[in-house]
Amino acid sequence: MSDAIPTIADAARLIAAKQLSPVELTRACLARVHALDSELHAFVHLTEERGLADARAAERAIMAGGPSGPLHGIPIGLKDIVDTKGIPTTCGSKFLQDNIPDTDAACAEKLAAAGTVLMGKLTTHEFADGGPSFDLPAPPARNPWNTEHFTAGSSSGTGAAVAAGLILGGIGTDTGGSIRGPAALCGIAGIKPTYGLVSRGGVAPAAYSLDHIGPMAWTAEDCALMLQALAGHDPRDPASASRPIPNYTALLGSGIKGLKIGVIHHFHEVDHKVSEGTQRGITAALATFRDLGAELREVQLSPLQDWAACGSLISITERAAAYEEWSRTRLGDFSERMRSRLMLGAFVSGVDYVQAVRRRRELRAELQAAMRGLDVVLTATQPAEAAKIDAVPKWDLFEKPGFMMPFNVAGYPAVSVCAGFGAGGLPVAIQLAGKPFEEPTLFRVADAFEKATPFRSQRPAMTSVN
Amino acid sequence: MIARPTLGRLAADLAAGRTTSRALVEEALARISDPTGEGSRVFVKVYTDAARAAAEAQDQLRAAGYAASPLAGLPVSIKDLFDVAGERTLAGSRALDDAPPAKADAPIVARLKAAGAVIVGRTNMTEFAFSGVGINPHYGTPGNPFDRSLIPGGSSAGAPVSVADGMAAVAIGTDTGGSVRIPAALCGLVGFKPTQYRVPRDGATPLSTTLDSIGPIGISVACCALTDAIMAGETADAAAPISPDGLRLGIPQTVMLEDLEAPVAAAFERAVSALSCAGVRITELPLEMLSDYARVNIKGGLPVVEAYAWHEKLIERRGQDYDPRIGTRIARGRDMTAAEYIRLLEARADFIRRFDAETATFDALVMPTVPMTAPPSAAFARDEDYARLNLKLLRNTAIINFLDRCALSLPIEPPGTAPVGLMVVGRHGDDRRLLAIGAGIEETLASERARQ
Amino acid sequence: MTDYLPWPLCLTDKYPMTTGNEIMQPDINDAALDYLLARAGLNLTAEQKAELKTVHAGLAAMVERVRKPRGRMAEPAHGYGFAEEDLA
Repeated sequence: MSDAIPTIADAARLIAAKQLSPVELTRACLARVHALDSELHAFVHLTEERGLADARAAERAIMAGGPSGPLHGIPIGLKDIVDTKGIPTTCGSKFLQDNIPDTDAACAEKLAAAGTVLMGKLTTHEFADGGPSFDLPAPPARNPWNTEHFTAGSSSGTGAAVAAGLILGGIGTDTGGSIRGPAALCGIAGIKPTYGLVSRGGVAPAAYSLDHIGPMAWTAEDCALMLQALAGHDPRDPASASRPIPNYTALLGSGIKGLKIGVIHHFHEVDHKVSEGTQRGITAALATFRDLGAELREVQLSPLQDWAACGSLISITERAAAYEEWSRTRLGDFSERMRSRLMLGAFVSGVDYVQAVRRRRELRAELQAAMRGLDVVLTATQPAEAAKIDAVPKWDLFEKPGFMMPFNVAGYPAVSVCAGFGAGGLPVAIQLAGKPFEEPTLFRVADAFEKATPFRSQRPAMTSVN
Repeated sequence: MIARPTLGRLAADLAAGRTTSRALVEEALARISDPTGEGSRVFVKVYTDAARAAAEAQDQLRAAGYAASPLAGLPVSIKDLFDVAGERTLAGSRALDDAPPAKADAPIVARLKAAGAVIVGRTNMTEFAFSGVGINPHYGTPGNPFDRSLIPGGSSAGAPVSVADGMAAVAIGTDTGGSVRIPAALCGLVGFKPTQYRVPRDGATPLSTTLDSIGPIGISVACCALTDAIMAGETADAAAPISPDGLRLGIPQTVMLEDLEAPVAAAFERAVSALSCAGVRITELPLEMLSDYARVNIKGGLPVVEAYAWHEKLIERRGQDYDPRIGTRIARGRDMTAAEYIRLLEARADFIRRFDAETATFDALVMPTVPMTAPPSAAFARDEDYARLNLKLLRNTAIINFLDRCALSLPIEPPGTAPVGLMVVGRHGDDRRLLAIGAGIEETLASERARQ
Repeated sequence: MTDYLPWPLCLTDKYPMTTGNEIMQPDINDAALDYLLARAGLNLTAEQKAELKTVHAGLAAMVERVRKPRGRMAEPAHGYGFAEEDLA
């Protein structure tokens, strides 16, 4: 069964050649959902009827006039903090168990307009933050590579669903790593685009100035195909960028000879030493990049702890503000993890917040200067392979800085791609970040790496059980 | 890149009895005196009898178990500005031909002799060491071993050619703005400029007392390391190569990479790639402050004014016998006021402080030694071309003298093409470590070449 | 290098301070914690308060870290959009 899970790019080719029907494809995904999701808990709300209806409509349209684009007829899922018209959107929270929005979020609209097949709403940490929690209305998602292990969050359901082939692509959100973390631990690709590139309209906030919406899929190429549909200005989002949208797949396949990759060695070797398996993945990746003709350079930035402190203070404060009313009146209705995070807001003064935002400008300028003359930078995504789901530390925030937050702080696009398998056969990943709005170059490098390594041909073992 | 035996190889041959000092020195003398060769332009004086006698003595000492150092019995050339007892030190000039003879050997000459080296002769140089070109109107210009119509570089012009043409196993030069590294780079050899204070400069005609350094030109980094250790009065050994894996190198992005001639740019990029593949961590350092160098060194900087202080009386007396391109440039030293000189020294201290702060976390810095390959001598016919090309030859190296650091030049051109040098710059006083890093880089680049 | 104490330390003999001039102390006493929680409108159990006390030090470290000697004129990053000079 596992070698029957196509990528979006593969499926698009087959659909365009009329060798694959969107209905067949959707049924195959549904079969996997029924076989595997009782263990994975990737879906919080499956929209089987809606999915089949979308698939049939796509099939008709494609038979008549061919596909409207590469996403036409492709089964996708949306993180459950993304508003979907007429479909429950619970944000993983008790507060919104009965919430049924009457409009689609911008990203949901755009994917629907591109002809995708909506399979359902995917498990999320509460309000894209606190997790994994066992005191939530829905159980946390499990890692398809080993269901006793965590997926990372908060786009946990999206990560699991893509890895297991329940969907071909999904939407996640990323405030401090919530797309890239699950992408890394679930062995898939996920991109946090440039801040403002994808509209946040209709998506529950986590921290306004750090929130990003982005695609997660089996490959970087698939993410590029999805981003093409998602990117664009939206007046509903006050931070929405107004920039011409390039062709995100234009540079794929053009090789990376002569491109300069800056390796932020101290992040993952000194500031927060990664696991052996992760380091092996990184070292092998550097060798792969050299073999592909890229030039490696070392990058020196402020220590990871600086980026973490800046991002955390901003995140804590903005989140506490967004959920202040409920915190004051119904604090007990939050999950334990979310509640713990919200409590921290009491400790951060307004002046502290401004200092963090001043530091933010300095850090962004530092990254900009460091990347002059470079095309992308590289570091780890996660410090180690997926932990067991009941062993996820609650307050790691204060001890071990994460590798993903720097690019939320700076707003620069960052992608995670699978770099192999480590302890227990669990995936490890590398993170590549690019310059603002230069996602085509970022995809170019990520795609070249994926095509030069064998990891995309290995799906989780559970997907091959019939 | 010159394929001649290293000092290590020669020392082994001597130790194993495969050759004798006498044989090596005879061969050197034969090449020097060969009328079809460059000998008459490379050497201004040849110590034929003394060298033969010394070689004999070295063979006898070796037979009795008294080889004084790994340099013992090997032919060595010295630049024409070093004192040798009982001789006039001309420093490539005619104007000093009535100077009293030197009372004693310069300390570095004495140390080389004490180490058993056989001094075969004094090599030709730019008059008074005052250019990076190597042209001398009095004694001729040694032809570049790659192509004799090209300049060898200067001011230690004869030094690299003496080694390349088998007239010496290693050569001693001086370096004030690049005068060891430039000719090494242009001729395809290794050249080393030590941190100034390490090698005594007594008995060497000065150009700029603040900037002058004494250094070797040889076939390999090990050759230079050994020779430098002897001249510095340190234990005579070559530093073991430091593995490139994990080494942190910085490439200054300001001034050093501007206007590179295509073969220099290509060779440099290839070398950097090869080092990166070997695990070197390379950072491109903006180092915008380097553009201050030109601004700070008004009126010719330190060499012009310090040279003028030394030459003032001599120019009055014998100015007409100077190489006109040297005399006129030294004379400009009278235009700098004392206040300007003092401020220049202060500016230097500040420049060093700022540079050190920005490069503190790096093991070494790398950049091309010279932005171009050797131009033809004919290109220097007009004074304005001479001036412009001279400045460009000196551009990268002179900054390192100003920074009071040590630096190596290593040949990195593809075999059979015009020589290109890679300059590796170390910290002030950290010469042994720089040589060890250089040896590691040399090894890495050699294996990469072998793979192709 | 100056050899006078920067404000507010230069006032310490007039207005003695019990500690150095860190903004946030690693430990927080109960009264201070209660005040902050009241101001934030948060109603916590004794257990939750105890937990919060354990992370106060970590947060205090972060709050110190984002402060750097910097002039009055250093601007915060403005939350929205990239200005042209940010893309150069």
